[in-house]
Amino acid sequence: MAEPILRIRNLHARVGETEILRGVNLDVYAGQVHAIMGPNGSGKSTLAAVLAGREDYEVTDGEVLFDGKNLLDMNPEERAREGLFLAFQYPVEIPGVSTATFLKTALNELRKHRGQEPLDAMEFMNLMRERAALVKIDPAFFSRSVNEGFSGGEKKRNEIFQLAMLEPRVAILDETDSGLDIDALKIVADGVNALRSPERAFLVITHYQRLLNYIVPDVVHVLYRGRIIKTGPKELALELEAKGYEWVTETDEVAL
Amino acid sequence: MTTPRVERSPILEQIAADFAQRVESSNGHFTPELSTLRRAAFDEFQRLGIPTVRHEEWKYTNLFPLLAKGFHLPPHHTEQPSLDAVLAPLRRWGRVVPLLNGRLLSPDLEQDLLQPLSEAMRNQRWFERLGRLAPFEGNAIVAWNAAFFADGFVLRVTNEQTEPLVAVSVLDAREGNVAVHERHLLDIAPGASLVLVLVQRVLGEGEALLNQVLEGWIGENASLTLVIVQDAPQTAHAITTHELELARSARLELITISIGGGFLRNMPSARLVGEGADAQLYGLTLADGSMLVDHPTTVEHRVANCTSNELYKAILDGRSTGVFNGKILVQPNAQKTSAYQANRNIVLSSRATINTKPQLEIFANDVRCTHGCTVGRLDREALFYLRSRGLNKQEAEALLLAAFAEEITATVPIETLRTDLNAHIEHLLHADELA
Repeated sequence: MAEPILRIRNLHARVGETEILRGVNLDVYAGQVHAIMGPNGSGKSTLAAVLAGREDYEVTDGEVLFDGKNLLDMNPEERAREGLFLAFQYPVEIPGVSTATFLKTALNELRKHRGQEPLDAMEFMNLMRERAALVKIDPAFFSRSVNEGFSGGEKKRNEIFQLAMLEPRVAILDETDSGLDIDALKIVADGVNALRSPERAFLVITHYQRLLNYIVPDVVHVLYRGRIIKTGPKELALELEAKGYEWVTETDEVAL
Repeated sequence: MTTPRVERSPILEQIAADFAQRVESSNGHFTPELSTLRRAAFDEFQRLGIPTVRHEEWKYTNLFPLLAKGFHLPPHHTEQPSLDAVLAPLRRWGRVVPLLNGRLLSPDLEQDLLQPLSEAMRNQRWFERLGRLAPFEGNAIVAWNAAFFADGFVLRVTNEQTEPLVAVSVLDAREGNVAVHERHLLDIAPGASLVLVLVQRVLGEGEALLNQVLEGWIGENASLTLVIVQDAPQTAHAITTHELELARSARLELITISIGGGFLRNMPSARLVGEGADAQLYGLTLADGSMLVDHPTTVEHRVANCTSNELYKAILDGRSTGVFNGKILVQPNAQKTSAYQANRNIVLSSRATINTKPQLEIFANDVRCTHGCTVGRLDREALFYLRSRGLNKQEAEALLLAAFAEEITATVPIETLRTDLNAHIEHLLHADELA
């Protein structure tokens, strides 16, 4: 079997004095969708933040290889240029910066890194229109400030739209389902499904099984107290939904 | 207002010597009435002295290090330097009205629209207006100007001026540091409108200080957009006093863009004396190095049912200093006043400083006045968001700062000027020192 596109080994991270990740191990292969589930406070969002390079967290041990390269040595923009994408749980509003300007700058940075020519205005506009349709985003949004005044659902759709534009190799969706009604959830899931490909992997972080009805994972992991304590096929998500997290966490505590 | 102690400094002695030698001897340029007025203004200037930091309104803005550079009145030249290179890029913005060392060089404009102040002063009607909005009594800067002004323009607009006018103050510092005093009158007749750009350019290697006083009347239903562009190198310094009076339903937009220069102090004042008048004041400061940008603004509501709004923003880096002092005065009769003021600052360097003070004096009881000020750094969350999409730190910062600045440049109604300003700002933000 090929090398994993993302290999996490014994990852420890803390914020201040509090250790949040306490030895995460995970191999993700191109083409796969991995779901990371777990109760609140288990370290799910920390894992996403550490992978994306947020500076508030200190990695104290372990390593992360992204396509064989040391991810933790890269700053956030280098990770993005290598093909890592984080769909934020709380996308940031950026007044005064239009979505079009922002995405054009970002996409051309990525293209430069890949040795491609920047897109001209027409090519870029056509690409925006095509990708926006995937998540039913009105082209009127292009000239609006990034996320400013967007509803919760619009912000999440905008994250998936950016994902579609930037075409990462590993996409991390951090609680993309939170705050979405069922219609918005379906739009987001349809968008993600359309972007699944043999070259791309997804890490879907969620508290609830609901999203996984629409984005069907290949592997489900349970993260608890900073460690992956259970891994299984997609049915594991249903079992967790039926039995609650206590079902796995209690066993874990005995084992600890 | 406290009276400053008179500073008997060598600087004041030098200014007095200049007055004796140059101004007295060139009085032939002016009418006897005007010469008398200038003499009185000089006496007042000597009485008041140069404002020091002990003066409340000059607390953060010290004139002495600037004046210690030694500024002299510009020498008289019979041969006029070529201004083509300086003026050509400005023609994109509108019809250029050049002034060289305070004197108008614009024979192609219609006499009834624009004329030299010295000529207009022969007309009693104009002479009576001089100093009505900006009296020199008690104001050292205006007194200094009234004693020394080389000349200036009188602009009378009686209809809708579709093409913007761009008044370019060219200061000739080829033979050393110069101080130029300009005096302007502006009259926008009822129903008329004008977009006027004021910009400064310096010739030569010397430093140049412009002391500009403009008095403007905006008639009933008339409108004035005044754009003050301060984008020159750090050898350009300016002290501006722009006193504007708004009649019934008159509209003023005053936009000050301070993105280049050394010492800049802008003192705009809008007096709303007719009901329904509306004044909008916008300012953008982008300062680096040892630049100082001071905006003491005054908005005075004298009658009921007027509106005003102020938004001043600053980005400060290096050892630069920003000052904002926003005075809003609501007189007892000015019921139903609506007045807003906001001052937003981003400080990028630990050596840069901002001093900001709202000053609301409200003597009417049925008014809506709000003010707010913020001082901060760039939003870390927004920076991380942009970087996580592949923008490097410097690009992300520049993008956020440009967006911050664009809220002000967006108010400039001349597209070519707006484009040039945004490009200039983008260039500055990508330069190594800023951000």
